[in-house]
Amino acid sequence: MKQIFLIFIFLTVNLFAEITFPKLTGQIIDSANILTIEQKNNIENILKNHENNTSNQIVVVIIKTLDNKPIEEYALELGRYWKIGQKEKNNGVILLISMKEHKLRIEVGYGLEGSLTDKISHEIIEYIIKPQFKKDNYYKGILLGIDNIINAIKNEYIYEEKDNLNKEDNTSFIFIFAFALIIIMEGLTSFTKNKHLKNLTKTIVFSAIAYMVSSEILQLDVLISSIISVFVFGYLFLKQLTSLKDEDINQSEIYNDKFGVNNSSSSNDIFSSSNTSIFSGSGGSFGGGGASGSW
Amino acid sequence: MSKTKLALFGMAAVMVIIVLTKINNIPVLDENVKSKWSQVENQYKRRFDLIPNLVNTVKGYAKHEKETLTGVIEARSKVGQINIDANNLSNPQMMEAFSKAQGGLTSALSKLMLVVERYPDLKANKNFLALQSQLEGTENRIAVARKDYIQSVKKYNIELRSFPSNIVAAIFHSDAQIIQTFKIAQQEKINPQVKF
Repeated sequence: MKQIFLIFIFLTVNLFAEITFPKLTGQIIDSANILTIEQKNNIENILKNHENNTSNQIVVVIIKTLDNKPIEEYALELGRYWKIGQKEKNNGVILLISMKEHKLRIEVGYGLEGSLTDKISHEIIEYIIKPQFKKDNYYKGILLGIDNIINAIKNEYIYEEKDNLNKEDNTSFIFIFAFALIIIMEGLTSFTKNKHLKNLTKTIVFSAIAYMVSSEILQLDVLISSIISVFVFGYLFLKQLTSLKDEDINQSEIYNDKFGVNNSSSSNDIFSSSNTSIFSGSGGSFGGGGASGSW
Repeated sequence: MSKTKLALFGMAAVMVIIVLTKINNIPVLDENVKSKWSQVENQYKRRFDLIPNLVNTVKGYAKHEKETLTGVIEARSKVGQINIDANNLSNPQMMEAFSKAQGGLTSALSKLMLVVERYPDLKANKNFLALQSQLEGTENRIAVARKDYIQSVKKYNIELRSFPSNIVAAIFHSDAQIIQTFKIAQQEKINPQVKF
């Protein structure tokens, strides 16, 4: 029960941090439903092919409305939120189309600003996509648009074997660190026969891990992480104080159980979120490059 | 071991953990602020470099707009005189002068872009349109870089001011100072929108 409770705290805090952007389900996201399934598959194949050859990630996003947000701001936040592009190359491109405002933007990641310049983005929008969109040929406009984008950036990078460890360097470090802490703790506690001192050390280590997980992996505010850590500490500590009364419970077993279950399940949660979807951003960043237009 | 001893030991341990997790925060956040600042300067420099080309293109078509054009050139030269070193970011006077000069250039440029609307030939020139898109892109990048910088400064200043990190900072990084951020000048409140 208490394990579930602790995990629940982590997850709810994480959910609150989520912003309301469309879900990244593939290279083409059509929330406004203007393309047929066949057309979407076709675009998806072109973009997938391109990613396999060059590692550049291009995503086409069609939304119903911007909700009064400037399109530049929306595209940038979307790109940073999804982390389109490879981490070291920052080679992501987003073609964002908003149907209600009749606005579109090509948002270019840091690493492609040299080949897909503002000028080229502007020309693709102005002279290639816009004429098609004005005639309501959305599919053709998008197709020609991504064709030209690919033309501009295809020679910038070549595909290299993906290093899966890169994706979670920070995360894996934390887990190794946490693991080391547990081992050190076992060593430390072996010096004393005092069961309460042992358990107290474990409690402290566990709250330290809770702090690291919440601040480094979940990227929470320092204050919130501290509160979580103190909360976890207090919870385990009180648990321990009350258990001082009934000595007959086999404490070490409870703690082992707690550590085992918590660590494995929380790590699964974190990793699975990046593995379950077929397509996901790989850590690219954006700095406001690209161009906007309207039709 | 009694319960009070246990509690005291626990509290001491928590304090040690807090210090250990925060002792590196100030240097790390400081480096982050510096790199964000250099991005701000880069983007302003980019705009600075774009202007001669833009002015020359406009000059060819809009001969009667000498006043506006000199306004842009003068604002540009003012910007060229002020540079802030990344180690000098906590100096409020420097930051204000920098903001003021850049803001002056922003408003001079937006004036120029308004004037340009009166010249259909210029508006049809592909070279000018490309330059205009570059200017627009640069303004957008400046906005992004500034926002990132403001956010990094906010993080740093919060670390320096809030409990319990302020105590850790005061003990281990006593020379750390509050970093200045942009105050939005009056003329900048109306964002220059380059329209097509």
